[in-house]
Amino acid sequence: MFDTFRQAMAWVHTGFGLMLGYVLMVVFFFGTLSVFDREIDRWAVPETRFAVQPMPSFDQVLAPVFQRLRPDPDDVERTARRVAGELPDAASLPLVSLFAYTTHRDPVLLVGAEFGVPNAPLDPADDHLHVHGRAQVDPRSGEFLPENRLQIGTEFFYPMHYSLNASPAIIGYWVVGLAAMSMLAALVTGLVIHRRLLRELFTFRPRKRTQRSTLDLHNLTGVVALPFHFFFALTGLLIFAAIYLPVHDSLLQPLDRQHEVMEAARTGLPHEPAGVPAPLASVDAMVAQAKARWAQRGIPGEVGFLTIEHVGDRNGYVSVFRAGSDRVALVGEGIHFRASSGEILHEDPAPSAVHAVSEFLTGLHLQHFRHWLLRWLYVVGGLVGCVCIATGFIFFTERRKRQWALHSPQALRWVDAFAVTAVTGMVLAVLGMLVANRALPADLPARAMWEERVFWCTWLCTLLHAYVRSAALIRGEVSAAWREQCIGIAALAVLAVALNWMTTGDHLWHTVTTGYWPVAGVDASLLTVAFIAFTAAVRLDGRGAGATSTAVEPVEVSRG
Amino acid sequence: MARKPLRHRQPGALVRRSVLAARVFASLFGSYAFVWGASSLLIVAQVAGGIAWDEAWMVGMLVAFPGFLAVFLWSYSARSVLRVWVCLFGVGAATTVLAAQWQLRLLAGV
Repeated sequence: MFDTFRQAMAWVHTGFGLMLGYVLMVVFFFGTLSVFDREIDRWAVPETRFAVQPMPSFDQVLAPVFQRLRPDPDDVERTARRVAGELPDAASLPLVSLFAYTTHRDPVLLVGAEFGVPNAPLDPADDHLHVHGRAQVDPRSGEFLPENRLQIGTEFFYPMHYSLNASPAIIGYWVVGLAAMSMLAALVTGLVIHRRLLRELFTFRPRKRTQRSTLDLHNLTGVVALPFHFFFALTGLLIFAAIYLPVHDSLLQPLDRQHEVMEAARTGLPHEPAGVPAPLASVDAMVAQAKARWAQRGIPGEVGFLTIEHVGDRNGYVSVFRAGSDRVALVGEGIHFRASSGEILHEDPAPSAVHAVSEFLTGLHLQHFRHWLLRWLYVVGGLVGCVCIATGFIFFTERRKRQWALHSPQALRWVDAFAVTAVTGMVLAVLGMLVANRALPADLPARAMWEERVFWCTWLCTLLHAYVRSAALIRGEVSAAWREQCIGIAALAVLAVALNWMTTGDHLWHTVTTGYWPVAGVDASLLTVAFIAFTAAVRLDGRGAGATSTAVEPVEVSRG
Repeated sequence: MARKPLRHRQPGALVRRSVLAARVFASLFGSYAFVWGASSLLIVAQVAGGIAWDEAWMVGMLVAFPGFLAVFLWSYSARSVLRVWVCLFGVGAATTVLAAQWQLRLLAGV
């Protein structure tokens, strides 16, 4: 059916690129925003605009926090459907395991716990049944953050990057996984189609026809960041390997379970609780001991991750992991203590070659290390990816514009409307959400839900707007939606900065002079976006037809 | 897709579309079946060779995703759709059964 190999590869490139290009655009854009997710959190939740905190004292601060932590009502409801009989009162469920997690960019601490369920599961294979609870804590006081605050960066933009915030999330995981695989396929097939790697790298003719310059930009961005794009699509898949290819949980489950039990015997870390209650020794003393061990080994560091398994049981153990601020792997060098006595049960050996490779691949994608320049390079790489994808579908419509205008003008208008929605519309939805975050009253019930609604509604409106204003396409001109949405971006970005000033008093001059970079960075990025979007709008106005590629793309390039 | 492949013979549009649909189906689900079985077999073979389960699993995953990409692209470049189906689903099923059997023997031997 395909005459040549290149023809087959071209079909795969166009077909899967068009079908999943929009998803990829979302994944790349929100992945780019997630590089600074915690900084966006600070902007969106002014109560958390204080200095970064280390892991607080467990005995003084965290122990009472975990006593107050309750199961998540949604998770209780989901679990109730999977067990026989009525679940007991959620507040009475016993805490069986807990964790606390922080990085060098977090003033607030993420804590979570698993609560035991006495009921028998409906499905006998459904072992390890628990309900979960989690919360954000001010580590200075041990207070929970107010319930109705949405940490937009880590709780909305970041999950958007890998799950599209779909419900249930598993659908989003699979769509994103398919898109990531399409990205890998598009990169390989793109190389097969074009062949002239070096020439693409130095070819950009912005003053030629839109179709030509769009393709130049598509090829250039595709080639210049090829290793970055390939690596991130691949490591993204690998991070979720257990979801995409769950052989360990199905076909090979017996081997997996056998390994768990053997591992427990080898390390001395009990796999099951003993059923005998036991008190908890001082966790602070264990943390101090872990820090001393790291210092002895020449790797002094802070605690990034702390867990307790089998809480309150004689088999309970405390694991203290070192934060990965100074290397690529996320957390590691775990030291495990018997919870009741504080004696060391096991010290993680240096990772084997395979583990080191795996930790490196995951760590390079999730980048929790401390290096601001590298962090910005991730942003550049992500935006180059956005430009590559967007120019891909703009080229697709440009090439077919004349023909489609005659035969199927409606299809042409919709395809272009989707392109507008995926580029300027997505930026508008993000800005709409930030504006809502600052404009909605602080004590509004379900405030977080309203912020999310504003996001989705704004995005939907940009699609309708893009379709309604696309009549010019039929005459072979650029849709007015591009220019108008650029103006919208400029206006909303400035409004977001102004609202931040009005509601918190943290204007850009103040945050820059006091060196509070999380908020200063978001504000400065917003103003840069406004400037570039405005410039793009002016150029679109001046050049009319043929200006799409050169004037609109920089909007994406500035987003940070 | 708007770009139609050139062709020597001129089969009917319905036939062409069905063949293409069969290819797309195999490229996704056939590749998945192939990778499922092949990576399982690779993992079990490593465990049989004395490598710890978690390391064997990681190596299996490191190979599985690039492997999917390779067979996915192959399914479009191969001449015959029938061969794509037979190879991907056939090898996938065979390696799955083999991996399961080998696992049973490993567990019985311990």
